[in-house]
This record gives sequence, structure tokens and C-alpha cells, in this order.
Amino acid sequence: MNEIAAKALFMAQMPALFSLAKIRGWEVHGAAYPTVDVTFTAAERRPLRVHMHAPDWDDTPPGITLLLPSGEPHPPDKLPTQGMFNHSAHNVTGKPFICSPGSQEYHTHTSHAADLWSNYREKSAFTLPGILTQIWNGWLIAPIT
Amino acid sequence: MSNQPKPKPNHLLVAIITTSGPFPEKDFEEVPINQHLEVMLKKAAKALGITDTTGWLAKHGLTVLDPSKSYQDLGLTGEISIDFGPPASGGGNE
Repeated sequence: MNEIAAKALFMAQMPALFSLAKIRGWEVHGAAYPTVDVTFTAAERRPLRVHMHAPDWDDTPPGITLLLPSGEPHPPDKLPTQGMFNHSAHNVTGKPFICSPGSQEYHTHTSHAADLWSNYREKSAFTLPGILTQIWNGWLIAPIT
Repeated sequence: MSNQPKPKPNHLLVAIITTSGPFPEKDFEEVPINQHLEVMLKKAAKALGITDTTGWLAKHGLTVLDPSKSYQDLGLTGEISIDFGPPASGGGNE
């Protein structure tokens, strides 16, 4: 993807992201190409910071890093225990990862490499706010640990 | 709470929150309590240019709502925001 086109596609989705952040109480640390960086917070739930890096949007999905609110790497054993949060070391990044379509780590994982991003990228659920919404929903329904 | 006037009798105020933003863009839409939720979901998707809502869930808080039911049947009154978007998915630990 041409960088100018990638940036235009990326930035076109930021108004919706800011709107959702305001409604849902997400703390936005950054939302400028090529990075989206937000923290989810809710009563009695451990905050989760999600860092998305999408320099080639939307030819490739965002790389997603799970962080503590401070910006430090999230300890795997403290991550939510919900299906999309994979606590094991990813075969490329060596870090815990989002094991769900729309995350670069999912599509490059040895178990899912055949499930191509092109199967999803045109769907309305797989915009940047859409991918973030899916992670937020997973975080919200995970048992409180 | 919004600054919108209270709804008429047998009506409520509804906002649909999607991955493309809220509908209506500001405040709420006044709808009859016997209207089915799916009417507003379709209206929101159309207004926001969302072409594919397959598998999406409508939720009020953490409660998943049946779009084929009316607000009255769902026990919803007053001023409500409904999240309409893709659910969490994924494989988990391997």
C-alpha cells in the first residue's frame, strides 16, 4: 500500500474511534498514523492498554501489542482469560498476542496462516475501530481475575 | 444524560453506538416503545454506511438484546445507548 493512501485510509477512521473512545471511556494515548494506542478501563476490571501499529493499512492488519497502562509489556499471566487473548509466546514476536482475525499476529501465526486477512478486510467489523471494539468486547466479557 | 427533552408517553430515547460512530450523531432518537430494536439497528447501519453487520450483537451494558423484540419487551425505557458491533472471537491459548 502506498504510504499516502494508507495514511488517508487510517485517518479517515479516527473520528469514529474518538467518538467511541468518548462514549466508552477509553483513554486515548495516541491516534495518529500509523499508531492507535488506547487504554480500556472499567470498574473492578484490570485496565488493558492496546497498541496498534498499522503502517500498511489496510493491505495488512495492524500489529497489536498488549500493554499495562504505564506502557510496559503486559505480563502474560495477568491477561484476561478469554479466547482471543493468547498467553503463549507468538512464533514471530515472542509475546502474548490477540489470537483473532484482524490482528497481524493471528494471520502470521503458524496455526492460522491459511486464514488470510483478505477474507476480512472488506468487512465492516474490521475497520480499526471495529478491531478495537472486538478486543474491548473480549476484555469486557473475560472473567475477572 | 442528554439535554434532550423527555420522550412523549409510550416513547423512549435511543442511540446506537457502532464501529463507525453513534447514530444519531448527537443526542438520541425518539422511538415508540413497541417498535422492534432491529428498525433502529438497520437505520443506523444505513446512515453510517455499514454494509455488513453479519454476526454483530446489540448490547445494553453487558446484556445481549434480541433485535426482533420491542423495547417494551426488552424492558428498556427512558434514555438508552445500545452498542451494536462485532463480538469478541478468537482461538485463545494453544
